[in-house]
Amino acid sequence: MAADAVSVERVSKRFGPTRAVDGVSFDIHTGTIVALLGPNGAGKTTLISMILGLTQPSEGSVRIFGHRPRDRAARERLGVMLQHVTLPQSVKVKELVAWFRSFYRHPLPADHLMRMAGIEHLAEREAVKLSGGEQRRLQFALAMAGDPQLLVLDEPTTGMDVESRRAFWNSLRSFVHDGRRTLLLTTHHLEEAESVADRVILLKGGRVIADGSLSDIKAQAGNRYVSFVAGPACTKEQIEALPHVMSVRFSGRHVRIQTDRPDDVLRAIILRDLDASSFEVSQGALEDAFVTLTELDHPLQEEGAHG
Amino acid sequence: MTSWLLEWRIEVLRNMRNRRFFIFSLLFPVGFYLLYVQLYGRGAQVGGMDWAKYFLISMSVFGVVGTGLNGNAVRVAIERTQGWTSWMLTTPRPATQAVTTKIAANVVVNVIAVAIVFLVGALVEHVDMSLGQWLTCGLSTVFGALVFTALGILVGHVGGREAAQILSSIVYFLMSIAGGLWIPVQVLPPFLHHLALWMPTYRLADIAWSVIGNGTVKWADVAVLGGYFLAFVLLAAWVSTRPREIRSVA
Repeated sequence: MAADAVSVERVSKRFGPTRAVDGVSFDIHTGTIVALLGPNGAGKTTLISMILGLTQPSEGSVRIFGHRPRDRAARERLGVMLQHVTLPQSVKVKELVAWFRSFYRHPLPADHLMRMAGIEHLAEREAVKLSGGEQRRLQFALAMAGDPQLLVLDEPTTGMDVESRRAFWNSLRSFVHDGRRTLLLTTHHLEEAESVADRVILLKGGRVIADGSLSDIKAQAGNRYVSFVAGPACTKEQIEALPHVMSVRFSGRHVRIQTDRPDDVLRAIILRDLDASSFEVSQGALEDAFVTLTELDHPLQEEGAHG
Repeated sequence: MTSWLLEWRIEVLRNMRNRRFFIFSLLFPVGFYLLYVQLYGRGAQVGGMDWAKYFLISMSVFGVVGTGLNGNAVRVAIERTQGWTSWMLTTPRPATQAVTTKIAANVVVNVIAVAIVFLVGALVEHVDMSLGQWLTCGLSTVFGALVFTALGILVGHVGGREAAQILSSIVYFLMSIAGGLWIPVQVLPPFLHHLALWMPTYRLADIAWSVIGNGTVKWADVAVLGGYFLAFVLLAAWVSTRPREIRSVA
């Protein structure tokens, strides 16, 4: 049996008295896209840095394709985008690409990398003089230089504008979705994680508080929403008088009710004959689940499918 | 082209594109050489030779100390503190490649720096030496300067982004003055004279001075330089392969 792309086993990291990462375990199967999420200070960067072998865990172990992260065998198959990197001065874009390609046995062609990252027109420019978004795209091309089987991207879209972000995820999706590559990423843009990830690992206070598919995570958060468009005869009081309503959000005529029993809410709306149309029942966006789960005081039990 | 050769070539280009290289390693040594030879007269006798000859060596060494320190310290510091070195640690690049390519690139840059000062000496101030003397002095300066390449890399690792620039400048000027590159050791007070003997700057220049003066290489010079070189390289290599602890900020 082939080893998992990433295997994290009871990993902890202490900085003095504080535990930045506290007994974290998970495996990432080959071919999956995993988003590592959590509020600031949750330990994401420390965990990523231990997975990459840049920081030694205080306890526990990390394996990449069965190898220690610092082993050459692991690094041959790894492509990385770190969060804060200043590119070297006085080096042109095409020189950096050639430089990175030279580290690997089977690099992707340079023009392919540049086209994929949308930087082919910047080949002759000095890398540090590019805009923030262009530098991020260049870093993505460099991360892909060795045709990696595991891509680890720490906040890859920081500094990109909306347009570049969309292009970035599109090229990433087409590149990863061949089942051969595994992707582990962190991002602040939850809608990005939602659009790309197969699985979400939610970190808080250095611990895993939720781990599963998008729908698992949303189910675990327990949020249900009933949305509809309220007609002119429908009053705010009528809506708030409905049973099992936890909260209501009004945006113009659009109403969203948070509830733990959406069926009963719907039934009540119909039976009371409220002036409402265009019903929709949903689990909400990942962001709703994220907020609910990270605001809970005690960590939830890990449940649901892994991977 | 292997990875090592490619990185070496890039490092040479980075040196050449650096403005500080032109100022400190080409403009300063040549400018001060012409000025001081004018001030004291090219025929004044120092250390048993013409001042124009003696000071030519001083300024060549001053130039290569500059390429080693200025060229490397700041770059290494930026690379190390701004994530680049960490990133490189995640690639299969051999751990020693960063240091060895920088050192080898510095040899190329030193050849250029020394050649220009020598050309000015020969053409403008009519310094007269045999071909063997020119070559021995040039090669010993170029390769002896590796001590300062290693020192520059070390300063970059130790100093960090804020301190590396200042630290390398301080080391640069202190070592140049204490090593007798600006004021010949023969006219320094005894204490400073003694101190100069332990400076790698003095020892590097003294190889060429000895070759010109009595046609021999002093092994004490080579030994002191070799000792410094070994110490700097080992320290720099050790610091550069140590993973940096990253505190969680996000």
